[in-house]
Amino acid sequence: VKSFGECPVDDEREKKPYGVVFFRPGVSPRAKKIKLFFFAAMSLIILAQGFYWLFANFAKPIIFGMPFSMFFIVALVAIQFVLLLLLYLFESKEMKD
Amino acid sequence: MGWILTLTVIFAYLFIVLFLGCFGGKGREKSVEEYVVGSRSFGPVLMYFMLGGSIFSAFSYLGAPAWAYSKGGAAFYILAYLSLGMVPWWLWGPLLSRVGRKYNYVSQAQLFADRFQSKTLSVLIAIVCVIASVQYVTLQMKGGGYIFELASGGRIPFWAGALIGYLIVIVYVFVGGVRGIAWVDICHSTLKVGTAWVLGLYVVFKLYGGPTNMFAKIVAAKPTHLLIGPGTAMSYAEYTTIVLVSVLGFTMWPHLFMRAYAAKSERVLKKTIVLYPTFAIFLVPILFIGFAGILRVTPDKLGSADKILPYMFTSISLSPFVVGIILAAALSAAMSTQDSITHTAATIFVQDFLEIFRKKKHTGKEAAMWIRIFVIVFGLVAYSVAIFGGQSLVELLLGAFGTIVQLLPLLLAVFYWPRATRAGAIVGFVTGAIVNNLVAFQVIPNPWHINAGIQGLIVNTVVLVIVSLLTKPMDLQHVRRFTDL
Repeated sequence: VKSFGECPVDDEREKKPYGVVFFRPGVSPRAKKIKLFFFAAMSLIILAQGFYWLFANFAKPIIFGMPFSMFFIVALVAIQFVLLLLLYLFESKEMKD
Repeated sequence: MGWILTLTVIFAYLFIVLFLGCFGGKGREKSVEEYVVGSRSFGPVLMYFMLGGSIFSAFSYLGAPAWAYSKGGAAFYILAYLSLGMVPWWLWGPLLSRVGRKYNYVSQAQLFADRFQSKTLSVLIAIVCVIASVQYVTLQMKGGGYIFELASGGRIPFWAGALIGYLIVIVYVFVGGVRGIAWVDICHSTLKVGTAWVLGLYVVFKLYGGPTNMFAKIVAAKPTHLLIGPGTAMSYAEYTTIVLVSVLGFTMWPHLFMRAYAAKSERVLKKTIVLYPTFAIFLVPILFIGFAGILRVTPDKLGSADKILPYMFTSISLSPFVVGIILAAALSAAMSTQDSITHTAATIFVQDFLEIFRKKKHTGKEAAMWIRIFVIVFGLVAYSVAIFGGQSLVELLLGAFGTIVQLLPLLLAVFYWPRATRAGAIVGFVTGAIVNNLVAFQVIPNPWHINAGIQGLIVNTVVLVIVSLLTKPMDLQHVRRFTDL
């Protein structure tokens, strides 16, 4: 079996050479799990921003000087920032400079 | 005589900008790689400010408060999409950086043309990007002309104001290239964020005693103004699809796309993405200024909602010096987008259009010189559109924005789907662009108010997949150059 870095080449890749490539060759299973987790989390934030009106289309209560809907959107921005920071810390070891 | 002090402040700021822009790139080599992507050496500070500077344009500084004033809750979409816009870059930003470094790309179309082995695609993308850029720069120039007119009390006519802004931008883009733009953007962004927070909160506290009191009064007077949905300025479907299409298409803008090539490393790129949402928070006080106008100014008194920000500041009797700083900040918002897009459009025109038709390619130095020449030409075209009417032309070009988003399926195919073929990419892109424009110009009815760009994206993706599966796959070794990065 040919190998790229630490991991053996996926058999699926050899069977379906033109199949969709979700991960680059050589990505470890742990890194794949972490990437998938953050992908799901960020997708949820994007959907929550797009569909905020399902949960937070209210003007009151006014929190931190903002109507509730605006506060909800700003809170999502803050969560997004924290998630991205965590992802950066997780991935920082494997990044190429 | 206050207008003299106001104008002095603005011109002093322009002098600083000119100095930074011209000397930012001093002593660097004259290659096209240096002029366009800063020799791929930008660190996190330059990247952060350059992205922030080019995104927070006259639209966010003058347009966002106008939306808050006139459309209320619909304005929150600006906050949502600007904070999320860079998130998808986590997936393909590092790949772009790697591929750009490996194959020496400096423009967006070079990547697509190489992967799909198509000069047609390069020319198509170049045309769409340049057309979209003309419109964008025209709007910024109009913003500049309007600011000088206001600052001088009408003594500097609109055409002269737009011309001053145009000349300043052209000089430092011509001399300093992308490095000059990056240094200027640090200056622009600091001024914009500073004035937004200090003066935005000042207006709200002075007029209402604080934001809580302001919003309580707005809710009492106009209970649905801060909401979206039936009976408001934006439907649910419109809101959701505009956020989704903006997030998905944000990084397809050629000037942002090309910034990935300028980053020093993947670490720098990811640091920039992490820090980016902090720029979105800058919009909060800017939106407050628009909301502050709701109970203070009637629409007929204002004329156009876009004038709400300067109107609010002039109505609370600030000193001419402070007014000068505010107007310089508004001007910086217009210039920071104008410089990036002018630079990008000239690069695209030379690299992805002219070079395609030449048998003998330019050397790096020659290409850099041609890009500089087209910086001037492109600026002149945009200035002419801004001055000699052109309103209908601007309206005609509106569909170009949604067309840019149609590059997304191609990008995903480049990095994630080896089976995508040249025919699939071209037919998908063209079909998506046509659908977007037909919906945008209401040739195709849009009863559910679903964003035209997202309708184009869906059709584009389906067509790309079907046509690719029906045509012969491209050479595996070639396509794996992009999927195995």
